[in-house]
Amino acid sequence: MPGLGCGRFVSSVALFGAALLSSGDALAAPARAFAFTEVDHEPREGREKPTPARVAELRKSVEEAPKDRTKRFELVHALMQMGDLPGALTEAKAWREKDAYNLVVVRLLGDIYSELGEKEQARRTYSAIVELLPKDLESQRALATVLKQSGDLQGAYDRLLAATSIKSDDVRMAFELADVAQRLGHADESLKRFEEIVESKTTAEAIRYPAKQRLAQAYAQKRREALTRSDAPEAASLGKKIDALGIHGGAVNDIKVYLTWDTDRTDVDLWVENPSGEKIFYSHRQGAGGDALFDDVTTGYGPESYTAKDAARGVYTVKVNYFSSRRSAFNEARGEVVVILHEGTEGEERHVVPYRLFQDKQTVTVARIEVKP
Amino acid sequence: MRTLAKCIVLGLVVTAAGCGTRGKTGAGGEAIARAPSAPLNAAVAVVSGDGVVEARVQDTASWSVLDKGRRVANIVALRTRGGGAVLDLGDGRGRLWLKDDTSIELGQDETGEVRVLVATGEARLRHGVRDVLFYPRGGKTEQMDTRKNVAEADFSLRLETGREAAGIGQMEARGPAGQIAPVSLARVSVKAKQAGDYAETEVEHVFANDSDQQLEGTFRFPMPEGAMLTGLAMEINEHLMEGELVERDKAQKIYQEIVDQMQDPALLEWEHGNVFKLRVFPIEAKKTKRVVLRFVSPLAKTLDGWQYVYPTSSVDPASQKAAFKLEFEGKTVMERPDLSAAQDVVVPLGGGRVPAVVREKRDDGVYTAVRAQPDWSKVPEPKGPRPARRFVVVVDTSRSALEERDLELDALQMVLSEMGPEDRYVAMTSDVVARPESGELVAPTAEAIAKTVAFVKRLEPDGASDVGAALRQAGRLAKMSREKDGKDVEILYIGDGSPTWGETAPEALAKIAKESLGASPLHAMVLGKAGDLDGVHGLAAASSGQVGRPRSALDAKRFALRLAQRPLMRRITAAHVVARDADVVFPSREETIVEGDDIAVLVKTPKGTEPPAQVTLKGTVDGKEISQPIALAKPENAAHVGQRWARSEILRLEQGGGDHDEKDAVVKTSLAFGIMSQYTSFLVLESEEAYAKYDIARKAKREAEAAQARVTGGDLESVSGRNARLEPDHLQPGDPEIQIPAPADAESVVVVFPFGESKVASYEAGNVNAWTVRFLIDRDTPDGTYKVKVRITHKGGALEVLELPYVVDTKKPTVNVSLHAVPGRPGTYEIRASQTITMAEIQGANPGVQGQVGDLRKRYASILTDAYRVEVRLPDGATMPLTAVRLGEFRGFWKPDAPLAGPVTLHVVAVDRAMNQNESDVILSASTAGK
Repeated sequence: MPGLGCGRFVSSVALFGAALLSSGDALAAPARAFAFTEVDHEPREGREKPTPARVAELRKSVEEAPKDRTKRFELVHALMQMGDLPGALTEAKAWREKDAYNLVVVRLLGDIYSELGEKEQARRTYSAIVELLPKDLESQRALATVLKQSGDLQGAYDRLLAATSIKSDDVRMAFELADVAQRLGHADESLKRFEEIVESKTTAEAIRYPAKQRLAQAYAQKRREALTRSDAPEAASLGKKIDALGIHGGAVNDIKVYLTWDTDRTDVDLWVENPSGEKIFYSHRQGAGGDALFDDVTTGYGPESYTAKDAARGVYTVKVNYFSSRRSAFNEARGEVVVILHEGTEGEERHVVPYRLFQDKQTVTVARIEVKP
Repeated sequence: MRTLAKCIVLGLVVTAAGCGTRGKTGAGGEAIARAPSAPLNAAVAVVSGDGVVEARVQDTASWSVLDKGRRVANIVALRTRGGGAVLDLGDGRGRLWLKDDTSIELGQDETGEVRVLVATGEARLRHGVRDVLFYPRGGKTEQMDTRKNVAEADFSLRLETGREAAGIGQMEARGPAGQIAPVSLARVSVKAKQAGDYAETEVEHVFANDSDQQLEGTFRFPMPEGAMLTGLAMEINEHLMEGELVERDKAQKIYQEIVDQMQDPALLEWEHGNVFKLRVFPIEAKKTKRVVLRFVSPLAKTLDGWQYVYPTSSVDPASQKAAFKLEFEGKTVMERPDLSAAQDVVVPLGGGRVPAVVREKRDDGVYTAVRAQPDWSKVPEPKGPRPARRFVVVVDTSRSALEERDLELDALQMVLSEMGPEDRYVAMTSDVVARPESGELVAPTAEAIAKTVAFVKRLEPDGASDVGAALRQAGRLAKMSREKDGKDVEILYIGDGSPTWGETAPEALAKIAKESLGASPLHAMVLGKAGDLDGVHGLAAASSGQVGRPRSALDAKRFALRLAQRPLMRRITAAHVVARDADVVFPSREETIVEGDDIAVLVKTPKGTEPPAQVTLKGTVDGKEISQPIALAKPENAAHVGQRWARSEILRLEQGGGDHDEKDAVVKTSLAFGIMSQYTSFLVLESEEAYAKYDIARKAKREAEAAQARVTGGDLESVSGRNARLEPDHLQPGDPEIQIPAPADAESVVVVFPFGESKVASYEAGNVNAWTVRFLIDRDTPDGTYKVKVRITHKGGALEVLELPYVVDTKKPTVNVSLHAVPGRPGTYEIRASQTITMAEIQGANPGVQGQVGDLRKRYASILTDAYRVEVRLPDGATMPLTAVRLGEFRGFWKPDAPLAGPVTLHVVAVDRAMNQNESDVILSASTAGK
């Protein structure tokens, strides 16, 4: 497993519509071969093992200021980095005893249990977030992200469903729910949810456009199925729907990258370095080769997306940068990067890479895509 | 000690009072209360209880102490003192509960059946399916079925749950370096009075800091059962400051802000269970600190009649040296140098009337409370022997179960212990995962119960609550059990019952319950403040299961007993009370009620609408709907009925799920009615200015002051806002007239004088507009303060009793007079008069008092200064009244025709409030003084 021993993260690959096409149009099998490599889930920098002296210092700090969450977080984290999981568990439990409603410590405890291989206990602990705060939107969302990262898509779906029942007008939440429904294979439900987001007059463009992209994918999938059934009228109708969405470059792309994160009011950025060494990011959105970043969301949750319609030969490097947090020093960001290769074609493949950033200015390289001739 | 058969509180519905009609039939119709013909053929042992048990064995006359755990055979008599006891009769002969100060004969008859005769006290015997209570009457032993009188069995439940701390608070103090420091409880003073079927109690704790350091303390007070906290005052800078109820977040914010400024606020908050916590700072070195709490609580109805009970039996050893005094209705009923006796204070109300229906008028409507019992004669008695029962016991192990973990484990233990030997059960835990203890149902042996409790205890509460998964798993276990022996299976859920995982919608859970459990009843012991009425509670009520919301181990034990006796008890399921649409009535949720428990009905009738003459109890008996009227006739006015209604309303809102709207509604109700909730706190600030600064209205202070002015019990709602008084209140011997401003439409006003005479007042319209009465103060009456009692019978029969003081004063006032030229105003002179207290007046107020005259004058100045008019006749014959500038101080300005060339003679007249007059001539020069 790539990354730094983060056994709790589960990456996934999904192939859509393989061997479904019969026509020879733009949906044909891709001409070029792509090699996808997952790299890290957490940043390498700042992950040096803390020394025993540092841990002792942190312990002293916690004893002196038991209500200081930053110190508590640093101590548990240091123990985890040292590989002292039982010690980290003890400290995290001690923290939780005094701070029962703190999402960070509950999540840390779940992480420790995951790394200890205690899957059921990890799930119990993670789920305690919503036991204590059943009507708290952020708790439901945070838990959904954790569950997604641990591979429990159904669990994440349930949490997001609960979250949308608490606040039905939260469009970003609706987007995430539609996304998870799509990944669970609930094609009709997902399509309906994305349609509602796109059609709603209150949806901000920052959400509407990614929703259109997803909707275009869903329509494209249905179109491929229609073509497989030789249902030309249906395929044509769906083609029109895709065109009506007005997606830049259409629904067929070599590379598409989505970024989401779980923490409100934080700014996590997607960086993609293309084979020419050009970095596409929030202050340089348009690549010389036609690749582009859509929307830099600075108020939380994402999504951001990168599209390369015609990928150039060479290596694309996908990174995530934690630009800022306006909350507190220890507020980490978690989320997923979804990489879609050969989007809209019979060879479409999807890779989901979870990531985790602990503090400001950290960057993690999550994937490399090599485009071969 | 007298242990009380205390009132029951089961969920929302039932209060009680141990007070049902007593069915004198033995279980199975056979009387056990018969003289034994032989000693019990088994070895008896004490298993629990805090009393001393003495036993007498066959052919001996002496008593010997029966130590806990030691088995003794051939016992023919038992007695207890200093507390009750639970005994195991050995060889499966059953269990025996003995109340404190109980003496019984014990043995068996020719057939080997257990026989009990009670000489004093009360006893309970459980033998197989029989469960019987015994008590003495007229030299004989009466017996009654526990199943028909479950509330009467309360004493036995208390013996197994121990005494819950209540009534006496504790202070934990720390020094400047955070070290624990000793602070002793010096004194506890309780003042209580009746308010309908409730009592108002004010308890004052005085703590002493004997150290040389300033300390910070945390005061914890365990509220007595069923009590509502209504007030707090704390001593700050040697003044008792009345606290105010404030929205919790606001209170915490203000508190923190003030603490940061190093000032002295106090914040009283609910901590857990029945415990309230108050931070107290500072407790000065070598000084005392007073904390006053006020609450209202239900009176207790027992076999011996109505009682007021103040719980002092469970006192922390550190507090046992405190002096204790309790006054009820102004009379001292208990005063002792310490609390080591470990006894509750019981005040029998004797012939005192406790109304069944009480009513209070408030600005927003009329509140009525009634204690009622269903007509059980309309409910058929269960037939046949008690069937062997099968249970699936679901224990909540989600994270929220941590809050009431001890109570949950106690409840599990109690429920299993109450099961019969022929019953079987299987336990399972429930959070995001449902885990059965095993695949087999087992007998409730001590070993099996211990194993089950250990199984649950091993799992640290964590995770969310997947109630749907629990129901499905319980359904699978029930199916397995049914397939094995064909017997019906019941499900018991113990936990907070709020679904947070999987299916959470009530209708989806109802569907799962129906599919998984079929017709099996679902019983629920809902624990914790987060208990959600829409969760398991609602499912249980819909399945005709038994629902309870225990707050204590005793409550849980009561639930367990009722569940165990359920097949033999008359009961009404889905019981609820309905009224007219305009009325808001509690209990509104469907519950199961059983014979022997009362229903406490609370009705709010909006302003402008007449209260209903009756409400209706609805429910189901054997699948058929029933409807019974509950009369609200002949109510008596009483205080706090609105607060009782508000408490039910707050509970309903709190269990609604905690939305912002509900929280706001809780805060609004709590503040409007002056009772604490989980979203409000009492805040004490150090000055009136501080309250004003933080925009906190002094509502509680005004109410406390008003309550003090009212003096004694009785309903006072009809006079709120009116200052009852005697006029005049300072008198000389003679035949003065007293005015009492009672309403003109009062039926009668009777004044009882301290020398024993009563007089009926008459109403004088016109200028007086008050009830008046003339009476005689004998010429030999010594000076001093006296009290008359005024009994007002209001229109409609409500009784108001006032106790009002008057002062008999025969001493003339003395004033010092001085004359001063006014600077800047040539020819103008200021005449000043200042009252001086004489030794004769001081001796009159307090005969025999000794001390320096100057000191005594200072001490008595505020009490005896009573001059209210001073006049001066000037040399030219004109009379000049002086103006009062403060208590006992008068002045006036005089401009004679010509500037004064020498001394002048002034004639001074001083009159006090009792109309005593002192006249004399004084010769004065400007800026000189004379008397």
